Amino acid sequence: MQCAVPNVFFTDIISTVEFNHTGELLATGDKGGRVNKNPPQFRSEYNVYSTFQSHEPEFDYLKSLEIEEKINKIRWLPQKNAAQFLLSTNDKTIKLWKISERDKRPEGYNLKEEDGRYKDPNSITKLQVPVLIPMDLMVEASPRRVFANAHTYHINSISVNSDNETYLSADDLRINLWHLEITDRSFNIVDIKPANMEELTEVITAAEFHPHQCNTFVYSSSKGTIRMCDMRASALCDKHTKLFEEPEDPSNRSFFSEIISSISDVKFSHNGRYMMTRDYLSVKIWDLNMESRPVETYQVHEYLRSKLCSLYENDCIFDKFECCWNGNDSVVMTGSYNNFFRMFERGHRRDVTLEASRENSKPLQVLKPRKVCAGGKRKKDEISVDSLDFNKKILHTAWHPQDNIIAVATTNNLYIFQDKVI
Amino acid sequence: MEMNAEAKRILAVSISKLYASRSQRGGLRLHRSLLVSLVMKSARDIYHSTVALVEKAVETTASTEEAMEAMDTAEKLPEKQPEITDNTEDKENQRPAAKRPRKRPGKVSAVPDFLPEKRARLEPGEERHDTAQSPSVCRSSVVTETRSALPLLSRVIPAF
Repeated sequence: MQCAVPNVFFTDIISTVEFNHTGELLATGDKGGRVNKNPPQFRSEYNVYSTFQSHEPEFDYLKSLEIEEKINKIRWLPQKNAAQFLLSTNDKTIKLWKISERDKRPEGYNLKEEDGRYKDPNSITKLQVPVLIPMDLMVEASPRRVFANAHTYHINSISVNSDNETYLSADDLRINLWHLEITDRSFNIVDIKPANMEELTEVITAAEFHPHQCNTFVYSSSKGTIRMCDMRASALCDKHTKLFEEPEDPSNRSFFSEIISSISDVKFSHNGRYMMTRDYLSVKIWDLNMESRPVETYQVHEYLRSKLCSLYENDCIFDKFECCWNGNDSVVMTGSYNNFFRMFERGHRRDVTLEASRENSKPLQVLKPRKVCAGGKRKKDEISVDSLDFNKKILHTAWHPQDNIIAVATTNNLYIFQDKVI
Repeated sequence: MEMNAEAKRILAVSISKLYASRSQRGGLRLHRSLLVSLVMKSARDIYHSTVALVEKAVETTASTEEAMEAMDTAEKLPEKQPEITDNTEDKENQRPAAKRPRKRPGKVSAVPDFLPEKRARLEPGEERHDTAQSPSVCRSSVVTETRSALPLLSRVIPAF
């Protein structure tokens, strides 16, 4: 992979990254509630295009709780006209934003001066037609819909349906179905809240609609299971149509088995035949026609299995890594620590570890594969497990829908890489 | 015993995490709290099973010793009876420690030893004491939470 652009720097922690459906635009959300849009000037060079404050901190007076402005997820809507639309969400509220460009302004009004003052009617002697003249590009972001007050718990996912009319939002215990035009009501389609909260054993961690079947969605749980539901079966989809679960290996049992088996992200493949899940140590590819076990499992950083106690103490074990597919579903990518990110090429069973850092990211520089020494004698250019910096983590990655361009977010920097240009 | 020590340490760390999560911005995170509770449950089970094993071993040893003593005292029983009579007469003057205490056993006696002592919370940046550890066990900072963590524990543990 080759670094093709200068890095884009942010002052705040990046919390989500998403390409739009054409790859023309890249949106990032941060902890301060801002959404940044980056279009390319030319192929693979993305620069900051527009920034707007999506969410503000709020206070729930009833529960005496502060609601963070951090953007948890951004999802683009398919483009229908000149404007772009995206959904952004924090812990409690989802907003639909319209982003439009203005590069022309009208000039030559009959009744008004250029500065907006009204002309003296007696001075008007002729009639002219206003004309549009070019101006500096201005990007406007305006909130078109606010979907609020539907989630008691923290929203972790939003997913736009393939029908382009509805979308789902998921929190720890419930999933709601919304219509993009209707903000004052939503349908609850999944509810796993027990009657007695002391009996709670699992929560919802991620949810996504199938890319083609508008009636199908999946949600993952903290127990490492994925449930597929069909909205045609019943209004409340508490009963799943399929349950994807792999039996636990008893030899790997430890104090932290439940934590590391919790799924942090689930993504359908573009062709809709597979889905990918990310837990703490691995990435699994599931065939939607086989529920008993994944068809492929990739270990992201197995060398951390012996360090789980330390990772529990410093809270790193609770990190939620995301994963993504490339455009033709042949490669999957996910992040790790020390600003490493991993790519797994499915067909050839190859994998590579790369690093996103300023030192290694000069323009047009080819990225050097990195290797972690799990034990034994450390070779040259290898890094030992104890030297890994667990404060530098890549939680959010995105892959261009058509080209081999990836966006990798470190704590507060965004890196864009592309495949070598021949 | 190593497992027991590790279980205790993990329990202490878990309690401090649950306590700290109450004051974090955005409110309690249900997912994270659930995961911490599950770790606590595992550690608690290990701790109690280890303690039970130790107690059983102690009981077995004690019962063996008692059996040995019983055999000895059975031979000395006729000589001992006058002494028992004397003890009965002198019951009121027995040492208080031999008497059953009148007071109900308070919560203090029922508290497991892995819970932190009640003392002032350390400010961030203040010294923390290093605990003795084995290479395979993670370090834990001194838990400085107060006994108010106990209701938290009693709320969490019965759930599992």
